[in-house]
Amino acid sequence: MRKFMLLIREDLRLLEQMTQEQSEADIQKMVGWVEEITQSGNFVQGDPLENGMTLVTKNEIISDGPFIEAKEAISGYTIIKAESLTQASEIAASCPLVQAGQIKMEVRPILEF
Amino acid sequence: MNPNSSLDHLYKKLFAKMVGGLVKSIGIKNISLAEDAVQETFLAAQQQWVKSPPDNPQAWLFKVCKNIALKLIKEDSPHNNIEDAFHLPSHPDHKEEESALNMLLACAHPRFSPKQQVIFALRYAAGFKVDQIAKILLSQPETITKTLQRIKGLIKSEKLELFATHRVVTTETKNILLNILYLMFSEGYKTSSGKSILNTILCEDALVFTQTIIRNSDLSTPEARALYALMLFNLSRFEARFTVDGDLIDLEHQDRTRWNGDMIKVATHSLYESKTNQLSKYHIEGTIAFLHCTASSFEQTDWSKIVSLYEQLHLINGSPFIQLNLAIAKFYSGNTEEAVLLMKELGTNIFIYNYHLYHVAMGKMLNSKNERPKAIQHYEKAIKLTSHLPEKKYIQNLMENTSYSS
Repeated sequence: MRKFMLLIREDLRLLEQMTQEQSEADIQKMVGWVEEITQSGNFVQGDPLENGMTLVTKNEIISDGPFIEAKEAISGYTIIKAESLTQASEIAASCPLVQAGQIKMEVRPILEF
Repeated sequence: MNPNSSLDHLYKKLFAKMVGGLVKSIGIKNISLAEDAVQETFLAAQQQWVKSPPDNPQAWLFKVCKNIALKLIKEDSPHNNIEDAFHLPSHPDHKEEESALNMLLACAHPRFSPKQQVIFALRYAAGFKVDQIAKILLSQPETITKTLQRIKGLIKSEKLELFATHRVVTTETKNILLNILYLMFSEGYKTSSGKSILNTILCEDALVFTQTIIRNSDLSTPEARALYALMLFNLSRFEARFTVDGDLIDLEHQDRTRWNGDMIKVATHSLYESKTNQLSKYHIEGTIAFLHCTASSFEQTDWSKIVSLYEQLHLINGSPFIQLNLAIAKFYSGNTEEAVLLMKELGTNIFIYNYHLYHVAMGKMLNSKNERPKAIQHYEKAIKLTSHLPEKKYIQNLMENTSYSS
């Protein structure tokens, strides 16, 4: 099996407006999914990310993100093991928050030597 | 016997075999057609058997199913050469077992996610109905239907050949096969409530499939034997996990005389037979189960050995959930401080922190350190985090029994 990184993208502004109940309910859904893919031997690790960020370039360090024009930004990551990119995508597609349209996942094979 | 209950029984027993027999002739891409034919057959049986029950119900089902399938194939593609269809099985034969196994192999395609594989296997290899699968997986029937449609869509759009003749079964496929059975068994085991017969049937199905694989010279591996042992060790304790009222009893308080000694013997033998140089997670989990099942009491269990087994398992299949088990084993081996330290570290992971069993374990550890108020906080959090009623009740009970004198 190979390793894949699932980059979770969502609307950070919506994320900030969430009530505590809403975000707790979302976490529960994620935990159920992680439990499931742990049992199937696919989960390696994962964490959500906080909203604060800086952008570091050659000449400066810019704070106060998000910096991209698009509404979406990375809000977390998960590393999984899967047989193929296609299987990894099906696993990502099984996440209830993806199915509800709340988050998107970019599925990237981790380069291994 | 009530004709409907016997028909339900036949449906569970034959659905996968009938669909499997049909798709073997007409191709997996026609699985929907095969399923329709079998459904129509059982509908016809339901209507006709009340008036005139057949002498040989199974033969009746196979014969009618063949006719319906031929009719559907003709409707579907009138100009198609249906010569193959004449090979459709028209009566039950010794190849039935093979058909069900073939369906299991079909769902072991690496294109599907493990969850899809399990749902496909529950439907087309084990013959559970959609609403039964939803009950087992604590999901909605619509979700299950959607998943099955997605799988069938993938089979069609990617022209997956799941039944290539003389297909050499690769090690990868064999591993996937065992993982499907492992997950099927776990689903049956973990959500059982002592009263649900569905879960028992599921665990037995997984066990029988594993047995079939062990007996099949093309498929049998040391891992399969280890998995078989693991399932039997767990099944030996199946009944002892509940009181007569269906309340959960944890390992520590189970009446060990209620464990099935014969199963433990067969399991031990199978584990011994599974010897190999490369240990799989089934070997390690099987050995842990062996240590539990053969210990004379909870206290007499070889906890330090279990600690090292979980450390090995973490190397093979590392995840915070395995580390949680490692911490629990450390605690029972007498290493409370080290256990609590590991638990605190694990608790910084959001998924573990929102996993009810983490808080149950933390509650037990803190209670043993006489930190009662903190223990209660963890039990309260655990109750909030699980929706499984027997578990809620079990944790409630733990909470009421916290004391300074433990």
